[in-house]
This record gives sequence, structure tokens and C-alpha cells, in this order.
Amino acid sequence: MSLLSLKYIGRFNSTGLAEFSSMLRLPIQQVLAEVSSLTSNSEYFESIPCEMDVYPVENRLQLAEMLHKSIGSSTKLKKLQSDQGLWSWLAAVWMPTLFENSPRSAKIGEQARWILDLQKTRYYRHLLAGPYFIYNHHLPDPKKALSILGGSAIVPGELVGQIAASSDIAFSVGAEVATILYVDPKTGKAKKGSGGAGPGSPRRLTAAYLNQIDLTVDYRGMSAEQVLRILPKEFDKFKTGLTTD
Amino acid sequence: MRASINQTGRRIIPSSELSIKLIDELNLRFKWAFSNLKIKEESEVILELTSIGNSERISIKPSNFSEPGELIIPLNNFLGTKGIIGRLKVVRVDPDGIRYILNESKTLRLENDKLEGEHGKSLLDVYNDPQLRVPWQLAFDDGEPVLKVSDYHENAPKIYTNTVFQTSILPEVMRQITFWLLTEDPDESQNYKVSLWWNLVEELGLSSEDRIYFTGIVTKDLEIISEIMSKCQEIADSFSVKNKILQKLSNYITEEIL
Repeated sequence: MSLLSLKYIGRFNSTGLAEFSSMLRLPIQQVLAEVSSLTSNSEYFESIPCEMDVYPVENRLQLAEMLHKSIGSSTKLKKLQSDQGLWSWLAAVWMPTLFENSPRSAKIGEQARWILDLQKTRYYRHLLAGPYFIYNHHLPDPKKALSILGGSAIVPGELVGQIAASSDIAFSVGAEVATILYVDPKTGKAKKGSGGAGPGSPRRLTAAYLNQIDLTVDYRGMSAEQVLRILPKEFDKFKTGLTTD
Repeated sequence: MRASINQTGRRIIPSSELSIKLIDELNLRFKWAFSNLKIKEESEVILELTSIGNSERISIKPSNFSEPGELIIPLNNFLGTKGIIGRLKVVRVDPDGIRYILNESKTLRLENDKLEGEHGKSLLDVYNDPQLRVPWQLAFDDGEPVLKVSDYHENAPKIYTNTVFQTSILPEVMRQITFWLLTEDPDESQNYKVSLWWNLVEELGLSSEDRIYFTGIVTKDLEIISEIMSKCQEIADSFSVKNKILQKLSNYITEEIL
């Protein structure tokens, strides 16, 4: 297991961002071999003193915890929490570690995974900022959002994609409802059968239910138990073992 | 100001009676002046503020709304303050805990968020839609045009960055947006981007007389629609000429295909 101890965190300037963007179009092995040349070349970034350990993480929750610990310790970094240059440099420095022992399906993928895209419909796709924002919002109990934080850091998975894509749900009790329904409390991983688009699926919860009742019900002001009580029967199969009364 | 009731039974609070504005990086001013909104004491009033990485709910006493007023809201918890949007809800809470929305505003946008659509951000937001079975679709969510590009299979989003796609689709997008502007006459005061779209269409040849004429006709018959469509095509053609679409497409075909 590799460990990298950083004494500073970088913030890509426009040249650094452009170089990183070009690099992401190269084959994966070439990117992994060359990315450190960007994160170590001071022409491409401004450095901000801060300590951070970079080592393989089990899931997005653990990654977000580490990021929160480091960013929370620096006043300057706190002011840059939605900065594109900062998150993109962090993604570049974490990239080889995220790919270490990664599933075969791990790939570079779209740029928004590495370069923070500040459009409201894409920012959650960033592999570091995405979990960090969710973790930060659900403090002091981020585990309630395990539906979005439980996936692999490099291959977040379908459940994460479905819930995180709707910020109204991801940044509300909706994330906790999805956790209760679709995350196995014993393993912290997605329950079997929670993929796809069938009855009771996460896709149905977001597109066909919560986003619909949002027109008439202020569900974001309700508790997870109250929301679970009004879900249609199709979600019953995922409520097993729950007491919602 | 007349109130409207939509198909779900909620009463919509007119946009002109509410506003949000940044005072500085740490504070936001929420102002209201309701003409005929009656809020019962037992109701709850919630202002939701959302930006990238944040969503906050602020509960406000119903009695505050009996007269025009304002509230200063601290933004300490926000990771960034640009692009904050708001939504005001008046809610009735039933004994079983279900919170029914009685009244709500349309999306509130910062009056002074000039960065949106001006510096470094595209006027047209583009995003991938995993459920879209056609290559692209223009939507008008939140009172502004948004281009959805299919993410239905892995390679679908790559279509968007291809020169052929862009040169073929952007003039058509421009035509559809012009049609939307002339037929819907969206509220400029509620979305800064809408005023930028109007500016662009006017730069491309829409005269102020045409704009007033087309948007001023409340009931548009087939003849007027036909006139609007002709005007939209003119604007789209002007866009193609100004952006050298023909040249770009022919260069691409020469270099990449032949």
C-alpha cells in the first residue's frame, strides 16, 4: 500500500488546468505515468501549506473524511472549497492512488470526474469534490448519506450516480431515505437488487417519486421515517427489517 | 398582481413580490412585498437556498410576512455564494407529519449574480442525460434554455464534441431558443441569462420593433406563428454566417473524411 505525505496542497492555475485537461485525453497508463509531472511542477499551480496523507481508501466516505480533516485545518483552503483549480490539483495528485487495486471497470472517464465542473448538473461527478460536498453537508452524521458515500472512490457505482445526480435529494433527507432503502447496514454496500430501473429501484425513487412529490409535499422538511411511510408499495421489498411506525 | 393556481393546487407567489440579492460574500438579503398572500399563523414558511455543494432551509415566522420586509441571511455555511437560487414555500403540517405545500415561489435567482452567463460560464448549460434516447434535446427548465445531450450509452456524449454535430446542431438550437423567446416572452428580471439571450438575438438581427410586435400579441394565430418561424430561421441563418458554420464544416470534411 503506497503512502504519500503532502506538506502542501496545490491549486492549478489556468495553464495547469489546460495541461491536465489535455493529459486526460491520453491512454490511462500514460496519464498515470505522467500526472505527477503536473502536480510537482510549480509553474502549474500555487501551493498552500497543508498536511495531507494520500493512501488507498475503502470508499468515498473515507476519502471525504480525509479531505475534510485537511481542508478544515486551513483557513485559506476553507475559502477555496468550491475552487476548480484546487479540486483539480487534488484529483490529479490522488489519481494514481485511486487507481491502485481498483476494479477492472475503473477508467479515466469524463473530464468532470477530475476537473471540477461548476455547472449545477455536473459538479457532483468530481471524484473528490463530490463526496466532500455531501460529507460536509450531512455532518455531524455523514453515514446517513452512505447511499452516496458508500461506493468505491474510483467506481462510485449506479446507486451513487442515481442519488447524487439530483442535488435536491442528495443534500436533503432524500439521501438518508436512499441509505435506509438501498444500503446493507451490515456491509455498508449497496443491497443486492438495488440497481436497474425496475419497481422500487433508486431510479424510481428519484425520478418517479421524490422529484414528483416535491411539487406538492415539502418532503425535505420531513424525517426519513416519515418519508418512508408515504412511499408506494413498490419500495416495500427494500424496507425489510425496518420499523417505521 | 393576480395570483395563479397550478394544476397541483398550489398557489404560485408572483415573481415580482420576492427577491434575493447578495450583500457581500457572507450575507444575502431576502425581500418580500406580497399583494394578497395570506399566511395562516399555524403554517410554516421555509426559504430554501441552494448552490453548488449546499442546500439550506431557513424557517421564517409567518407573522413577518404581514407587511413588506426583508431579512438578512448569513451564508457562513455556503461553500460558494455564486449562483445561489432560492425557493419560498408556505407549508401546512398535518398531524401525521406530512408537509403539504400551499404556496410557493418560482425559482428565485440572485439579482446581482452577474457572473452567471457573463464571465467564464457558457450562456447555454449543457449536460448529459442518461435517459435521453435521441442525440440531443433542448429543455427550458428553470426559465432558461438547457441543452441535454444523450448519455444513454458510453459513447453517446462524444457526439457532442464532434465538429459535425456542433455545426449541424447549434444553428437549430439558436432557432429553437429564438422561437421560445418570441412565443413565451420569459421574465428577464428573474433570470439574468434571459436578458443575455435577448441581447444575442438582437445582435443577430431581431429589431426591437419585431420583438415588441411578436411578444405583444397574446393570442398567436397560425399566420403569426408562421411569421415568427420565418424570423427564427433568419436569426439562425445569421448565427451560422457569423460563426462561419459552413467554413468549419467544409474544412472538417476536407481534413477528416476526404
